[in-house]
Amino acid sequence: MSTETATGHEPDHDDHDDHHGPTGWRYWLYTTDHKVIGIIYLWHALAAFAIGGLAALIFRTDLAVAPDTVYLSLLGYNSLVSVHALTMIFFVILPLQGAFFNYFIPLFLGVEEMAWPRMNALGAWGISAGLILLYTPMVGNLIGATGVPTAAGWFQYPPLNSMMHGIGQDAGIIGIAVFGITSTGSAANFFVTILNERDPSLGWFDLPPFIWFTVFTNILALYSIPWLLDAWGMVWLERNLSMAFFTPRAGGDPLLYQWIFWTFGHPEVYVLVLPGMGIAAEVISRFSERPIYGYKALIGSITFVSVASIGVWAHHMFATGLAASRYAFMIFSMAIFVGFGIYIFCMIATMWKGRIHLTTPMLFSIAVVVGLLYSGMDGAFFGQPATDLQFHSTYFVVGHFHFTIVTVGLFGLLAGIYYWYPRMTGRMYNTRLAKFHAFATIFGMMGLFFAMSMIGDGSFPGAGGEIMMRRYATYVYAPSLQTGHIVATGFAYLAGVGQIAFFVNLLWSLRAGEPLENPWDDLLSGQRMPSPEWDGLPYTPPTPLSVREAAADGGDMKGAAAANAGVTDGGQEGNAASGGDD
Amino acid sequence: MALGDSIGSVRDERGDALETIFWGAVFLFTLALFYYEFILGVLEPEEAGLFPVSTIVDFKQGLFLTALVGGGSVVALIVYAMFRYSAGVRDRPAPLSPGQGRFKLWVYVLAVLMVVFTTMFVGAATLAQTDEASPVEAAERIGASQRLDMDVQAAQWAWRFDVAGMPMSQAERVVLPSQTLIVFETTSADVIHSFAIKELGITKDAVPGQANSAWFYVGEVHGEAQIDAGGETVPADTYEVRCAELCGKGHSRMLATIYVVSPDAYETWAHANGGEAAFEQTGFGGGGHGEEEGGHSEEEGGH
Repeated sequence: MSTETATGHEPDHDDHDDHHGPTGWRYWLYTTDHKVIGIIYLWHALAAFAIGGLAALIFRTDLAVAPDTVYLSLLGYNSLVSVHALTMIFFVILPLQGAFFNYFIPLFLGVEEMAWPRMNALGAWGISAGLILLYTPMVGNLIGATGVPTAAGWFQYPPLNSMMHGIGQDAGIIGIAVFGITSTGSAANFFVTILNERDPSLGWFDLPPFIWFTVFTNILALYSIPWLLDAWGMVWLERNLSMAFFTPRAGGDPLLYQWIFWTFGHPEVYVLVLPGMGIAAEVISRFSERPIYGYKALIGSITFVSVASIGVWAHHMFATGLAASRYAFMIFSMAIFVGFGIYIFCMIATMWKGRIHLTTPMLFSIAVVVGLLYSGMDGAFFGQPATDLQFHSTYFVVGHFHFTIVTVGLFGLLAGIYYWYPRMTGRMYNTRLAKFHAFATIFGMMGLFFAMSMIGDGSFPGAGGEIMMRRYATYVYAPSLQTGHIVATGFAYLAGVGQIAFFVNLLWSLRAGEPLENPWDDLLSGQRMPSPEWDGLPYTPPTPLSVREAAADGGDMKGAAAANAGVTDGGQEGNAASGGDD
Repeated sequence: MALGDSIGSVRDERGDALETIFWGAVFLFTLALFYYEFILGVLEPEEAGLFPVSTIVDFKQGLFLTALVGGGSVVALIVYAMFRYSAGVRDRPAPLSPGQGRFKLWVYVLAVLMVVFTTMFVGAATLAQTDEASPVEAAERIGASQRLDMDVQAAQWAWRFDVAGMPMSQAERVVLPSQTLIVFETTSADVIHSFAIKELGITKDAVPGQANSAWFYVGEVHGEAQIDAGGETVPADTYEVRCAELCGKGHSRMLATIYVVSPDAYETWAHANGGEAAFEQTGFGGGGHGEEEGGHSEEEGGH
């Protein structure tokens, strides 16, 4: 296995050219190549991101225009909110992670292919299937053929769920279930690939942080998604076969659902944020020109956080009539701070006295650290039952989980797109447009979520202490909240404009971007800090000592960078680009 | 902290060390502030007012302060690092050395642990005094001499309040007495709703097939509104009831208002509406409150 560099890139190259495999749409549909599947994941996620974002803009505008609903019906509002949540959680963030897992796990580990390539392809098409199922009722509703899509919120709490009529409810549940089944397979695939397939020269503690975060993400996904299938499967049986699990009139217990659902729900949040944090760790290390600070402490903290995340689910249920068990769940919830605290410390210590390049991926990564800090700080109010009861189900929660999922999870993945897009397509994007996107997104989204938090705790200027409740289609009871909603919607539009720049940039880059191997080499002043996805194997992780010795060796690492570039040239990096361009 | 051994002048090193000390001080100052606020919050007696919210509010302020100052200082640190160490002004990164900053990491972890443990203890104590407290414990702590029971039933999309002693249910408006521990039980006829009075720090799910109970207490009436009690208008305070769990399309319109009036006025109102004020004595809260009770019965005698 001494020719890792070659095996990392050559075979798939041969694969495409020699087999004269299918072309056109068949090339995409029949592929089991991890890189092509990664790109399929990527564009699925981006398409869903556009749809889910538009849904959000539609109901945000409705909220801002008047306290009462303007063009959405009450049910339509609930439906659009539910679809927005399901889309963003299941069809944007998870597939976007999958894109990077697919594309980069083999590159990081010196593997030719994923452990189970066909299962991998199934995962990609599971996204399509789920999206189509979820959105069919929306199209049906627009042409007047069906009712609205699922409108029970993304929690899908029964008995509300069981009592709602219409194909939309079932389609929503089934859509997510199909995606859930395929993504359980994908999670197993990613995990097994890291576990079994990686290059023998890579020990556990040689793995880059991103791979470690990937490991924990997929363990948590494997643990949590079956709970979701369980809960929603029972809801489906209850709706369609008149079984009774959760409907009290038929002898069921509505809280049983919540126990099962949140056993899924909380680890799921960590599934959403951990890959983003892993990418941020890679990017911060690279653009601070320093090896990651406290590598083992970081891995330890993430291990702790992942394990603890399994034991905190009932903090979503503090108001349901739980009694003394709340103390235990409070203690677990608060303990998580220590793990994320170490992550934040390590990131700042990596930046501290480094040499920071404020590139687009770095801007997003720094936003990840700030967002994690914010969502941890206002998360304290929900980890504590006493304060949770005051904030439960207000817009303060909405602000909180958007900070968590978007500014940590999604921003990390956006950093990943800007960091690795040239690696995936072989072409550079427009950096100015990218920076515009970064500023519009970071300020727009953070402003929006902060405004939400303020509307939700009654502190928005001019609101007169009125509180906006979560999932309220109208706020006729407190028209003074309108200013807050207008400001929030303004920020949302700022973010929306940023996303237009984002899509234009990515699409333009595919056609006309400057062909490029590694856009980041020139920036670095001479630390020997290879990373396998760019430089191939053999790989030894940069440590304080190795970097210091490299500097002492004469310091000029341009030579080393050039040597690396030479290796990658030989490896036919452009192959991926051709895959992306077809 | 003897890091920059090969790169950067001695002056830079000293500057770097000073920076680190400065930011360490900022962080530790935050910690001190947090403890100061918490100790104040724990020692200071609560203002007799609205319960359970006035018990929660000290704790909440402590958390807010930590978040604001602690989180703010860390954000400041990040922004500072972004510009201070940017590639535009620095030729080289300072090298790390193995084990560097391990001590700082431990100090930091200890500090975070201290904050977390303190928060756990104060939070647990706050919970024990609020939502976990039984009506008897609550009456004892608040010094409420009387209680009144109420059933809250939720259905799509309205509230129904059955107050003890009143023959009719109340819906969009419910009248309740101040200086009385209101003990309520929520349940639902159809889907899960949640009975929330955010001004009082109350959120209690109304789950079908299950009864959840909690309590609240309003100390005095400021008279921001008025209601009609048997021909005379009496001052009242309003507290808004919201549904806090998605319950279908009418979720955002499932509202009610609680009018809190003085115990005397409540009695008048109850009689005028064909019921009675079914206060139960709790056996607590003698003293000043007993005098009020005396005054109140005198007044009733005058009627």
